[in-house]
Amino acid sequence: MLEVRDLAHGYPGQPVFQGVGLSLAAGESVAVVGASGVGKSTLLQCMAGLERWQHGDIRVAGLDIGPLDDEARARWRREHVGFVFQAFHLLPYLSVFDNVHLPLLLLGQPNPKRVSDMLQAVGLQQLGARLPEQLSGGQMQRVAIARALVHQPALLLADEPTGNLDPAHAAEVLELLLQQSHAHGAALVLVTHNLHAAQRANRALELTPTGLYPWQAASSTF
Amino acid sequence: MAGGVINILMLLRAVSWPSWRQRPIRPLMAWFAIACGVALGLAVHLINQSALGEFDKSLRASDGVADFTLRSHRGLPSELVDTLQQHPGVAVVAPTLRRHARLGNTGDGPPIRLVGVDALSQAALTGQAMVQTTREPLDAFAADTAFANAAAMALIGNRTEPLLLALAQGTSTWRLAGQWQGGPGAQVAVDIAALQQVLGTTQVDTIDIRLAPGATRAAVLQNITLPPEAWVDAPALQRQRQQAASRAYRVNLTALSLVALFTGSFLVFSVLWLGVAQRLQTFALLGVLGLGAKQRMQWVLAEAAVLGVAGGAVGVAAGTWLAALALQWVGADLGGGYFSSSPTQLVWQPGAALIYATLGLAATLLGAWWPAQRVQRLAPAQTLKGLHAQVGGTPKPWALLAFAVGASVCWLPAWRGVPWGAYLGIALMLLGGIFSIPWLLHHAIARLTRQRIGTAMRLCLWQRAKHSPHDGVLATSGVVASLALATALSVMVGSFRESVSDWLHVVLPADVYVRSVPLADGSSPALTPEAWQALNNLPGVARIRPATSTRLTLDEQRVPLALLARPLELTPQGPRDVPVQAVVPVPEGAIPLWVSESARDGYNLTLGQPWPALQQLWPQAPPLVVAGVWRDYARQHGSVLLDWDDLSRLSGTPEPTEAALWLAPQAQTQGTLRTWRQVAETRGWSSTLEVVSTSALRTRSMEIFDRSFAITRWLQLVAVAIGLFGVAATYSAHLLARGTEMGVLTHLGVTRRQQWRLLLAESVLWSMLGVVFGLLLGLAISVVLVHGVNPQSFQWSMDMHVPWSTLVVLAAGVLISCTLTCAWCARRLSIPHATQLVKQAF
Repeated sequence: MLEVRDLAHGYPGQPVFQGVGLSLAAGESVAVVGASGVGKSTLLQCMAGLERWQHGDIRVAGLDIGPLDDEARARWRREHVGFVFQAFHLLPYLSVFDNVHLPLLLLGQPNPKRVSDMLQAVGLQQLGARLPEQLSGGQMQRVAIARALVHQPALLLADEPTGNLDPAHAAEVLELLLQQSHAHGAALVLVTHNLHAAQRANRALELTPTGLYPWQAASSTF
Repeated sequence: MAGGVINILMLLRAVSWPSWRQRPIRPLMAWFAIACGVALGLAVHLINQSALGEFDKSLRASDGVADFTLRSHRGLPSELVDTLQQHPGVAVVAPTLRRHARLGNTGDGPPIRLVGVDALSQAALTGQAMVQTTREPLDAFAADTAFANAAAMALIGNRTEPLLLALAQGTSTWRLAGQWQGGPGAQVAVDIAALQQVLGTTQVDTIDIRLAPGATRAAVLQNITLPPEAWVDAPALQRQRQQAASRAYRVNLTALSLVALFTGSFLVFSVLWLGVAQRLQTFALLGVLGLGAKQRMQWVLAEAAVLGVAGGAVGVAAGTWLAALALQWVGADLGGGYFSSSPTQLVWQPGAALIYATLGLAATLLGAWWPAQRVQRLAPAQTLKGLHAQVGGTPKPWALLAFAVGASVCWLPAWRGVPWGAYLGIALMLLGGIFSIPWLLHHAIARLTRQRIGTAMRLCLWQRAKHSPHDGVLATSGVVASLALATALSVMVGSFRESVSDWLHVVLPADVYVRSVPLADGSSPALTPEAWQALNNLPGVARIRPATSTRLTLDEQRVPLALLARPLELTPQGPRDVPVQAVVPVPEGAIPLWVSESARDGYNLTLGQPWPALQQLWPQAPPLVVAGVWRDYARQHGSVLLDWDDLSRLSGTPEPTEAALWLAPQAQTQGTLRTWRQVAETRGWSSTLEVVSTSALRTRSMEIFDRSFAITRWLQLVAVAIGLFGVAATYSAHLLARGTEMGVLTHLGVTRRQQWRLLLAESVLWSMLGVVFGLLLGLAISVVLVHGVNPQSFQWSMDMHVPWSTLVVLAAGVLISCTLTCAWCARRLSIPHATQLVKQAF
């Protein structure tokens, strides 16, 4: 589902990472760990087509996204990518229902039934009419997960999704994320500093300036 | 306490100043708006005060040397002069007798005022000789000598023969013996006793009185019996009258000049609110580091105070400069016609400067109050995690209550001639109206969007408008306020203009009007019999209607009113060619009076009732009863109109001061005017008689009207410009504050073009909202201006005329400017900074 080959990114005279390779099947999850500033979030942005890279290929569901221009990448992202952020980033003026519905509306495929099903799947079926400011942090992240998966994307990118939550809620949200991405057949790339989260994914890789390597918790430096 | 102040100062220096330096445009705009508001307000105040100062100066120059003056329309007996001279409380008594005269013996010469004075008492009163003889010192007391002032000398020239002056009683002959210091206009002074002899009277017109040390006016008048129609005048009373007459105008102008400051405080509010929104993380961080809620609030207020003090200081300097420039270039009259339009010396008032600077500071702090409250209520930890509430909460309808209260209090009666209730009401209506917008919008959109909206962008647009209606109001509040006031003033001026135009059509039914050129003291000499005859002989003239106008003082506290008379054609609706507002039948035998609205309100007159003060002038006459009220835009201080024959019954046949000419059907107006000009040229009347066609008179009147309201238009434009500045400043800040939202949309696959379209649609929505609400509020306020402020301030009514074309142009201009400004800000945000915003989203 996701194929990254020999990816390199950096700025003039300042390489960030190089030689990054990753292959991920549908429904599979991978946790990416690494020291601060090594480029984990940048790697996610490259996978989402939001950053341009110097070398290598990224293919999602067989499509090479490198040659696409900004407009084509936006349209591709709309259809094939879901995002979960550390700070949730729900649109504050949309209700829970509308926040989840938004990706479908962007695709021109309004489907209230699917939104309701998704809200039920994340345990928020009763809160559809609320605004984000009326929710707790854990509830907001559940909405974010529902929004990220409602349009059944091939790729789910999550950047520190439990960073703003207490341990109990963090564990709940993590389970939900893994379970739902698996259930929807989405390949999940999870950037995290959370050891528990890294261990719960199918695989855990550490990003270094020279590439992605299997992560060993005992020798971790981050 | 001291530590707190030091902390705030350190924060200003370490955090605020670098932030302002990094993004200087918005604080500069807020500062500029306050400076403009203070400058305009102070300039108008200084110009008005300088005008009053100039008036005081002229009072001191002419009459200021007397403690008080006795006057009467029917003359004062000479015995009164003797009585006063014997009174121990009186030091000097100086009688004066004045008559209109014309140079030469034909009655066609240039008009000159003939003034009879007592040289000794005048010298005692002024402390200097008012007449300077060129030959014998005793000439000053001779019965045949005359003394001309500079203006009269210019008319007389170097004549050596006796000075002939034509009076109604015949030609009088005088020997020019020197110069006279009096004025204004062309005046010739002669001995009062000699003039009395020529006129065959023993009366005088006025008596100037200087009190003995320790004496009071009240004590002197207590022991003197004055004729019933005599009244007391004094420089203080004249000043009081002038102040009272111009008070409403000055207050109106001051209120208008403060509109810019008012609009500026909205701009400060918007700028600071959005500045706070942009820096929430900074406030939160400092909060976590130990900066208390109260200190955070004080910090925001301190930032506002810096802007306010700086704006106030520059505003005072700019206002002083503006006032000095205006006084030098256009004089002290700002269009109202109350003051002189010649160059006037600036009267600078440190107290006023301080008050206006303080007003600027107050406006800034008022604008900063809500942003400061927001910072005070901030939850630092939550905000740092990006979890702060981002919508403004469901709007509450309290502002509608403020609007309703405002709409009620604006009909309270005026106090001391100034409609304070209306001003308060307008301010409340404006504030209530603007702050009602979020509530109205929230509910309107909720109703409109009950059915789910199809596309993602439409959903974002409407739901954002519904749940964050405050944002749009923040961006456009300045525009709403300025457009509302501009609309209200446009409707008021438009209504007034249309009403004046309609009024002119009613009161000017003839083809041509003739009048004597008024003298420098404002009085109108009568048309001479020769001129009257010449007008009658003018070819093409079918009918001539005489009219007379004199000034009448019935109340020493008020500016004299105009007594008008002309042959009236009475109909059941009142006299023809008079715009009568109300009419009642008068009792058999009574003399009907047609009073202007100003006279009705100023003298508390009631329809169908007699007018005792006027009756006092003619105690033996039949009852003088108010038969109707008419609209008189020409004489703001009041007028009373009588039939020509009625005035003749009261005081003998009046002398016409003007005439209306109807031409025969085949006659051409321009041809008749050409013929008259030839006659006037031959007879030397060109400079003394003014003959003008009705169309020219209407055109001239409307030009004067437009000139009078020119300053209103300029002040409107400044307010609208400040409102648009506000849009530019706040909308760009508003968009920057939405960077994260744009970043999230980018992640969800919204293209740049879609983002730009969304922002453009929002711009149009907010601009339209601002324009629609500005227009609606303006129309509501205009009703108060037309039917409340104007009748209360100036005692005249007008019909409501909405100048739709002006409003459409104004609204379109503001809509286009506002939309373009917003679109420009949106373009700048969405194109070059997209990547940066995406990063912000993580």
